[in-house]
Amino acid sequence: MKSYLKISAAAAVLIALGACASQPEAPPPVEPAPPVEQPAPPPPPPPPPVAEQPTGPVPGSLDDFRVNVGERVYFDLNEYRLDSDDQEILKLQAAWLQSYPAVRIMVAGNCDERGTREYNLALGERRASVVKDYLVSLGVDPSRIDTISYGKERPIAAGSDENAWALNRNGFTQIVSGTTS
Amino acid sequence: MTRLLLALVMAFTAAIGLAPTASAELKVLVEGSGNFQPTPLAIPDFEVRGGTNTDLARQIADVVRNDLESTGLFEMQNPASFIQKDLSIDVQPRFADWKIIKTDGLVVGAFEELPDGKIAVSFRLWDVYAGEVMRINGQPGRRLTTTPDNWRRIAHKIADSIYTRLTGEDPYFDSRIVYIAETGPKLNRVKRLAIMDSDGANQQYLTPGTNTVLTPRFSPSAQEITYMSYEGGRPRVYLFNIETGRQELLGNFPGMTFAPRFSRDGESVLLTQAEHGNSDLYIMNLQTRQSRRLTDHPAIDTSPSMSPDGRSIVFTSDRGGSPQLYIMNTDGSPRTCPSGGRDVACRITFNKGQYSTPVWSPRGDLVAFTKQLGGKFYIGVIGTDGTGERLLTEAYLDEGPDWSPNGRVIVYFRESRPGAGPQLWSVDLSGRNERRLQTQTEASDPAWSPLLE
Amino acid sequence: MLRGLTVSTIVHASVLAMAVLSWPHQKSDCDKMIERLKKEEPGLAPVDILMRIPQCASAIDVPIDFVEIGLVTDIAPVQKPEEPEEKEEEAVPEEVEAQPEPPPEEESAPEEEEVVVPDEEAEPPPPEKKEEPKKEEPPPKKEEPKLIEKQKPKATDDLDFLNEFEDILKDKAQDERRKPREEAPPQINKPVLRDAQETRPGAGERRGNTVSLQAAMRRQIYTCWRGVSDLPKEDQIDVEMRITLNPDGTLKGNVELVNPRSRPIGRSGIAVDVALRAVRKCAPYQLPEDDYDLWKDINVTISPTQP
Repeated sequence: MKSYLKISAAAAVLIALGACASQPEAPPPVEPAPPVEQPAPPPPPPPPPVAEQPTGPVPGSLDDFRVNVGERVYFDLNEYRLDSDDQEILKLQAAWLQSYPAVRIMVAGNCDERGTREYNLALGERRASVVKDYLVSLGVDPSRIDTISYGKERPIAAGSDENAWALNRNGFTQIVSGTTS
Repeated sequence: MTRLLLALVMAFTAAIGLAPTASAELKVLVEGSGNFQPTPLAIPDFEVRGGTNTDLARQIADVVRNDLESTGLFEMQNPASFIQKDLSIDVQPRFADWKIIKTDGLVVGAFEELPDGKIAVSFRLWDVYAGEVMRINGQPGRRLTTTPDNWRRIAHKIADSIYTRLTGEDPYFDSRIVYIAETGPKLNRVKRLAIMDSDGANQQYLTPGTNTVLTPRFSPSAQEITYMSYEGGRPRVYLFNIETGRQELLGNFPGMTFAPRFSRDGESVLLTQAEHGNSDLYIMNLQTRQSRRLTDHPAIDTSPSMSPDGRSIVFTSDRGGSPQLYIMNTDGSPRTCPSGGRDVACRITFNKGQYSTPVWSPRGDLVAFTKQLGGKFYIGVIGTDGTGERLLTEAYLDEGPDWSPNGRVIVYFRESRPGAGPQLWSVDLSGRNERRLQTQTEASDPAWSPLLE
Repeated sequence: MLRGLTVSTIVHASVLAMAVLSWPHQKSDCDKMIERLKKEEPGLAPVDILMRIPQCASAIDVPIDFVEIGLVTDIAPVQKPEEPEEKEEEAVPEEVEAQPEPPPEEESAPEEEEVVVPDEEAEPPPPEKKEEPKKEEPPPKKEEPKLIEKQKPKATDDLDFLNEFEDILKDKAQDERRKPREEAPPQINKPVLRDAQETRPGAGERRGNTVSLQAAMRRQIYTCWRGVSDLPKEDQIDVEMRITLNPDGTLKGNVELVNPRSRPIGRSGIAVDVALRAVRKCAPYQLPEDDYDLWKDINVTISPTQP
């Protein structure tokens, strides 16, 4: 059930992102990013372990992270524990982040609409923090990770049913800077 | 001595002789607390004495009638039924005419435009059945003056006077409500700070909507609001002066700050700071800008609200496994819990469901809250010792209660069904008078101002 | 009782006299009465005169609580210009733009109470507006019906010993009042209508009449009583009143407050207001005229404290 949910969640997110063309973080598709503050690895990094599709997004890009790694983990109702599925995704995220050490991320904690605003802000912060802690435990430098809570203010599914709520209870790893594209 | 004796004997015989008469006084005992009925009131349009602005005179009377009717405690008599048409503030009304339509109270007013450009409204409140004027502030009438564009406040003050005289409650019409005006699709909401009069008039926006703002709360003593804003991409608590429009970051906390609320004296702000995923309560003195940590617990502690005497704080915590209401001493010392034992924080909610957003009533005896149970949300009140829980409303989502300045009415927001946008509602403490407050946009997070000066 | 009766007669007579005297509401009469009052009690404030002869309101320079409302609470306009358009049911008033800041001095200080009281002497300055929300009422005496005061000088009464009789009679009456209640099955929150037809076994004809009259009165008063459930428990006080009825069921004279003797300060005053209004509003009462002597004088207690 849960993995099914996750697949549909990923699909929904992609659709949602496609729909929200005006989202600030929408990636500029082709333009090569100028290597801003990226002195360390002059040779292009080895391809990340998962990105195996020959025709996939450019390795190290936002799309690469979204499609090949997964940017969200999903929580159970009123929960902030990471189950094994979540841990798998976060392991992929950690590995990817190790490969692109210039990337900085913001982890956002989100909640469904079936809670009160202030408690949800606190719960979202707890979710974001749990994700961050897990990534750090896998070796990601904590200084690369910021957290923020949106409580129930940033739903990704507009519906008001169990499926939508499940999608909206998530930890969202957003790349802030340092990608190759 | 003989005279005294004589008097005694006479008195005695008189008493005996009159005994049947004496016992003939019929004793009638009416028991119970009564069955509530709204009090019938007649408020004819005000007489225009100076000037010609009959429209304004009528509008003022309209606002008075609307304020009083909105309480659910009064029933406005239909003007078509009025018999006496020649009312004057200077002359006693013909009570018989008003008894016929069974009105308990009669308000007679006069409107004037003054030479200096101001307007004045005088009024008297008559007790129809007693046949006498009801004094307000010890006076048999009131006269209020102001500039014409401020006319609504005159109306609210008149309504407040009448309400207070007839119910014994403190006034509340001459006040405002701040809220969050919501526009745009659900996935990309624009949230702005907005303000309106307590009756929904004079709606204005205070912030432009470039940053999401949440949970505004009024200072009990000043024209100041505290709220949370995502300004600069970081969620933090700000102060906002509504007279100057100036916004100021509150404190220098490393983590996210949210859930602010003024202390009852207006001198401090209680808030929540989340650091490393853990939310705890803090209090910040607005003069010294010193902050003090109130709770230090690995569970979520949030939504603090202080008692009117400043000694206690009620808040939401999930330290027991799910969100519930707790009360602590402001100084952090242990207290004796109503459920037994001593603890630094005493849980007061033990019924089924989750409880959050507690707000201590201005009267001090009750806490209003949001409750979640079985897929529904409720607004309710509970005694500060955890007894006497009463649910006042129920909906798909009812959230975020706040008290009117007199502690008689609760304002909150509601999503009536899944997918419906939020709207502002109010309910009387008795649970009787649930009604919607009209706003231009969808709206949430209402908070009541203190009574205007 | 005897004394009560006498006093009551005097009171009623004086009420009637006043009513007769003041019946034609012509200015001349009013002026005369005002003059007389002023002569009899120099220093009497116009307000008090009005209270005694309210029908002469127009002849008196009526003081009123003057309140000037200021513009203290301006709201700054939204700073950023990108204000999205709103549905303009109730457009943001322009005046706010027109006068963004409150004029600093002038408004804030004096506006609070420009309360003008014409007569400096007798009338205490009305409470400041700030105190308004307090539950305080003006000194209670003001509220107290003047006529009742005449009954007060009890302490100097040289027929004081009669009070004992009165008390005994009252106690007895009270016992009578309670007895039927004790025998009645427990009742819940509702007016007692049940015993309307009941006659108590062993009681005489008159007795039975009394019980049904009581029930009839209860029923009628209850419908006129809006209740006190809104008041805090401690303010839901019992109110005992005495009324005298005409044979047609209309009120003869005013309703007399027995207990409390005058309208209390604070919110329990509302309980008294509501009780008085119920008894006044319910008149004329529908009662069998044949038994007029049984219901001519009625002592009514509205008792929210008894469930």
